Amino acid sequence: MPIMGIFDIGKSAILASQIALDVTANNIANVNTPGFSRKEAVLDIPTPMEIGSGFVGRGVRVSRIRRLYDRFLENQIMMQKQYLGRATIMADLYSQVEEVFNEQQNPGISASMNDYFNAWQEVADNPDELAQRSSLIKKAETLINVAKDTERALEDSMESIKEDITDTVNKINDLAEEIAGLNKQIIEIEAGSTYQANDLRDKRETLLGDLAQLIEFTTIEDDFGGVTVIAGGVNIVDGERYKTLTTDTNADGSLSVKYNNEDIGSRLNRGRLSGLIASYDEINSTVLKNLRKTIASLIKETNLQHRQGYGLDGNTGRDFFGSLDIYSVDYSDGASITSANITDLTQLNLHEYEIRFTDPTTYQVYDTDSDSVVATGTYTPGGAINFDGIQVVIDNDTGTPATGDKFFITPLHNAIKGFSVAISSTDEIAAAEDPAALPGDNRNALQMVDLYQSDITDLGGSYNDFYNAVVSTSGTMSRAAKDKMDFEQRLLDEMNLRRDSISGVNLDEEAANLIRFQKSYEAGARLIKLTDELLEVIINL
Amino acid sequence: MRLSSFLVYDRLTAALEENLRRLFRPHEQLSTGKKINHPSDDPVGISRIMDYRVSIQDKEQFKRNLNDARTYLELSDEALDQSVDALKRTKELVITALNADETPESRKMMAEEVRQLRTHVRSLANTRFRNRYLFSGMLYDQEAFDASGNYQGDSNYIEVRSSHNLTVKENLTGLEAFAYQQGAEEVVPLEDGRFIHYIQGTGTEVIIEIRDTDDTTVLDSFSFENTLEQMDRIREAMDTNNTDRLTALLKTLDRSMDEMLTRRGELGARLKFIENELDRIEDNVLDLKTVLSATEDADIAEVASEITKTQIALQALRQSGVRIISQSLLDFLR
Repeated sequence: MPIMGIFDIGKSAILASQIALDVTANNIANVNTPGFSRKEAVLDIPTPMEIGSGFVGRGVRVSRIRRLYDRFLENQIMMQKQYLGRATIMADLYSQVEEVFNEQQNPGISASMNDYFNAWQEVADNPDELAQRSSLIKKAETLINVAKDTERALEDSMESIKEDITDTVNKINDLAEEIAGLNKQIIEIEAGSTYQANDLRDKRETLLGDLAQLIEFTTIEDDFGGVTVIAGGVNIVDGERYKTLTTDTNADGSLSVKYNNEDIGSRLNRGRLSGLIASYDEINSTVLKNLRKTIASLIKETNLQHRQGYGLDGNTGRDFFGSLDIYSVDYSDGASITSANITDLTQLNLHEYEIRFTDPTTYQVYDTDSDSVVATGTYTPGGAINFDGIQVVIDNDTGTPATGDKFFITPLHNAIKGFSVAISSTDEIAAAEDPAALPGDNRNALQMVDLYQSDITDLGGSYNDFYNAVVSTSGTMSRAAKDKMDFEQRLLDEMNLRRDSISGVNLDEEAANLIRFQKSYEAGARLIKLTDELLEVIINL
Repeated sequence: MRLSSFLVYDRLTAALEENLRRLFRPHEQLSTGKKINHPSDDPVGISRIMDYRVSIQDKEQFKRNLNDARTYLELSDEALDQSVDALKRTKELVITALNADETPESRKMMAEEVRQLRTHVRSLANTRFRNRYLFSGMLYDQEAFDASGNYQGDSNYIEVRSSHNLTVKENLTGLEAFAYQQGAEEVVPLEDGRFIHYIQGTGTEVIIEIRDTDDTTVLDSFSFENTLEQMDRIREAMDTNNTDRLTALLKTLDRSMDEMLTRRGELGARLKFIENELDRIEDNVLDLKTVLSATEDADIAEVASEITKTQIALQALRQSGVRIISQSLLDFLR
């Protein structure tokens, strides 16, 4: 074996130590980089050289830089981030919603409604007094304002959810584009080589982690190193290509997330986007609907009672509040609604309906609250459809109705928007039951007062019972969402702990490695120096 | 298990945040004095709190209703009390007038006093409070009795709620307080063998007939519908020196006074009911306030100790945190 062999071994030791020091330095530098996986220089023995008496090693080499990474765990974390993304946004939104109903901080509908009914008692106490009558109108107006504020706060929340959905979809599209870009780079680097594009993979992992907070997806890694991201059944990233999701406003004002007219949003169960969509529906279909129902019922019952009474001017049959109206959503391309009215307030039960066309000439009125068909009939263009005190007229518009067409009909949607005091003077307040007993007759006012405590058929309980349940629901929703978020967060923390125990950087460990590789570097250098001295001995012979 | 440095810092930050958050809740409780500050703090509790609040408000309203009713009833009672006094004086005058020693002239003078008493009773029957003529029923914007003594009100009661299922009547109608139903016919024989008949007319009309000894021939007939008309009859009788009529009216005067006293008893019963209701409501409100407080108020001592506990934990965390993150091998590499 030539003497230069020692020189080569020394050189290999220096080079390997240098690479190991580089890796260590990079680890230290990235100690605070989220998503960074620790790298490790894997040292290897080159093929030994045969000398007469056996084999002698030829130094050391770095065979590869290993990325400490557990794919299974990373996938679990990815999924957990999706769960957390949904839970976080829901907790956030529901805590906004519960504040809308927080009567602990400021008087809300419950207190205002109580004031309103007590004002009727005051009128009953003093049926002819102007002061009490004007006070009743003031209290009614306060209740109206509080109800409108409450509704507006909920609608604002829903509006901001819609903006958030649009933002989130944009972010998802940006991330998909970036991930596709990284796919391209990784494929280029790894093509035909045994190297892994470690840091690019870390970067892609980080982006996937960001994406996981936004949307539910699964990934498949192909043989060339590219990942396919599948969300809601669509490959939003496929190698170097990506697809752009869009938002679309539905007839009822809500937003759908679509790809090529295919509704993706409804298929998602995890991620911020699904949380936003679910919260929108939940707020719309429970708290907002029930809030409107409370007021709609108050308008209905007050007006029915008020119509029976007599004002100080001796007139009867007047509404106290502005009357309810029918709101409709048109899900038909051909036909449209030409009018929708309440024909008989006493029959109205404050349900919501869908008029469905089972074929182009047959319609079915479906009560979505009781899940039952309340009327069926043969469609005649411009003919009236009557059910539960409501009359709807549907006519051909740009065409005829098609099978599957539907119209959503509700007396609740505009209840708060149209909530107003209908009477124009205090004399019109109908406190009396008998025009012959004016002005002292307070019997209709007493009947009005009794509404407050009685069970309202449409609500299945008193106003208080029903409204308190709405507030309670908002609290329960928020509480459950917060608990869920905490739970998901703890799970993710646990997973991160495990991930970091594999992939995380420990400064002490790296410091020890620094010393280790520094020492081996020094020793390698010593070998070269030794070779130098040996050569000098020989040269000086 | 390997621990990464990033995680050590991260966990420490998270733990500090968590502790601060934990400190925030009792702090909020302390600043508002309430343990339920958001519906989610206790979704069932919040619904109860709202219920209690509304109940308290309702009871306060019932209290106002009852206090109003009490004022009206007390004023009515006062008016009846004075009316009875006036009728007593009238009765004295009638008895004096029936005295054989009295002359037509002296009876005329008494008639003048009866006229004044009648004016007084009318003003009592037209007692007005807060634009309301107390004895006019629901038609209380008009005087109960006009100058000629006709009743102008109706027979309706004005009721107000004293609770969700009870009402209290806050008026007596003029016909109840200042008139009566004769009912079955009464016959009183006079010392000279003649008879006085008291006959029920329509409504509150009382017809008085003075009949001859045969109890058939009607010698005199007159009537009144209420106390004021009755006093008019008395005055006329005194004016015209008609002692027969005065004799007949002495009995109806007693009847009127009895009627008024009965009505006063009724008022007394209603006032007693109101007192009881007010006491009951007062008790209820107190109970409700106690449970409301138990449901929503924070236990200050408990909250304060909770804060101290959390503070100690936070302090300990900070100290141990400083030790953990200051430990590094790098410090020993010189």
